[in-house]
Amino acid sequence: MNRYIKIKKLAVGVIASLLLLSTQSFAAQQGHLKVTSKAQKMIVVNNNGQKAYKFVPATKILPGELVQYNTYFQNIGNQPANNINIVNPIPKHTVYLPNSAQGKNTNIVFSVDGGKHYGKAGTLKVRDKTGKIVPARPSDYTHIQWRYNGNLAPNVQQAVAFRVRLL
Amino acid sequence: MKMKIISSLISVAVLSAVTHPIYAAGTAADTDINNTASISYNVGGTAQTPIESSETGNSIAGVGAGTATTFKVDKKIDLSVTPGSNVNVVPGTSAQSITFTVTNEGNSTENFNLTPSQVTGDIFDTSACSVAAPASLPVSIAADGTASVTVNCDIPASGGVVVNGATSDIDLLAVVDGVTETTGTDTANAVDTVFADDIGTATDEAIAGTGAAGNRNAAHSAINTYVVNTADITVKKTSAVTADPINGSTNPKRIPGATIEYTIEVTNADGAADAAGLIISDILPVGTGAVGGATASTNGLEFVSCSSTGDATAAVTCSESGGTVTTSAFTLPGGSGSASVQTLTIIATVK
Repeated sequence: MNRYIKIKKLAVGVIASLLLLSTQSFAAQQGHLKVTSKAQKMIVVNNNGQKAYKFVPATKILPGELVQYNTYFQNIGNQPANNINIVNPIPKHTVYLPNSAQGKNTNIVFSVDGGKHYGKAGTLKVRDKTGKIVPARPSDYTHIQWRYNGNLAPNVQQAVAFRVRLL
Repeated sequence: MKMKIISSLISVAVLSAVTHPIYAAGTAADTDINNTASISYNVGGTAQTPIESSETGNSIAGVGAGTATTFKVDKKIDLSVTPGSNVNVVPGTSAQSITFTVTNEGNSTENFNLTPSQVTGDIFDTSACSVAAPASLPVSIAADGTASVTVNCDIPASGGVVVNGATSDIDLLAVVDGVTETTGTDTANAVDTVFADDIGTATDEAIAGTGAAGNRNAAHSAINTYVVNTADITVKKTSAVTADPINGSTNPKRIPGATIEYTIEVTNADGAADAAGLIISDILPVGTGAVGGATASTNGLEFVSCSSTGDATAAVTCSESGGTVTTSAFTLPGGSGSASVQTLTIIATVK
């Protein structure tokens, strides 16, 4: 039964990506949401002997350093929005940090195939160098999707976030 | 049946390792890292055109209406010098090669100046050290690349402190050419330079950097060592009487007709260099006065046989001619763990 549901979910993903493609032909139009993506560099600081992170604007980044991306979405329309899906490809030259995706009131799923299919962390599979199917590691993720549960009322802003390491 | 469909779906979903190239040095300097989130949603039960993100906030729907949130990868200057294996040298030789590897651990192609020097305070000093390879300096090394460096030095003649096992240390300092660390605040949308190298030897520590001496100064250094390693040959000759015509082999005496066994042991010391072209030659006192006394006589020994066994790299033969027993030329390697020994055994009888 569970597997059957999975098929349905996969199908939804495919339809969503088809929608994305079809929008290319539309003329620019004002949407109901405002979407903002901020990048912040994470600096390790010593907080009373505890390792803690300090966030600074991501401008000077060196290989190996950590970046947090915050995606803010605000309803600027006058009607509630629902069925909200936020898709964020893992930026090129970076890898996703395990367990770093977060978002209040969201279900978070990941893709290892360029956003064609999504699954929960730990359920995804990839082929290794020998062609064997093995569990995907967080560094294999190509896309993250946050499925926001419920309505986003007018004027309300929510945020999701994830972290990467620059290769 | 359902199971089968699932498994084929999963295999379609499997990614065929289309990940980013991973370099130890990291993403190349000046690379833009772009991020765009995309949001899809419904209003009033109707799917709306997805909206892409921008750094300042975007609400225009449609693919391409957003703007990527971007930062630049800065230039990381990092390098390391590692020594090759210690080099065994023979005293009094010139232009002996000693090797190092310089690795560009930064994320940009840079030029590297290389300076060899004799370390002071070691056991003996070489002279005339120079970089033999690469042929011209500074040498350009790509991100993540290495350069093999050969330094040639002259080894002094033996004597004094220049004895087997004595060492001389050679330092190689590598400095990234023409780079300056960006000071002060970050320059947005421009490539800044950050030094990230570790501390090398004293020559690195002599160059100012950030923090501890030698740290983050776009320079690194390492030491490799020459070790004097010559052959160390000793020769020992013993004789024994093994039988006489009266006593046989029980307490034999050196009387006419007795069998005398000479043993000549050639030893190359533990850890010494191989000795090539060794020949053992022994003159038997045949028909001379050597046995009986000062005056010449026909008294003497008569050669019977010879043989040679031991650690030589190939079989050693021996022969007698006119009272002289000679082996074939052989190579006796330096001992490993214990000395190497080659033995020539000569059997003769007393006339």
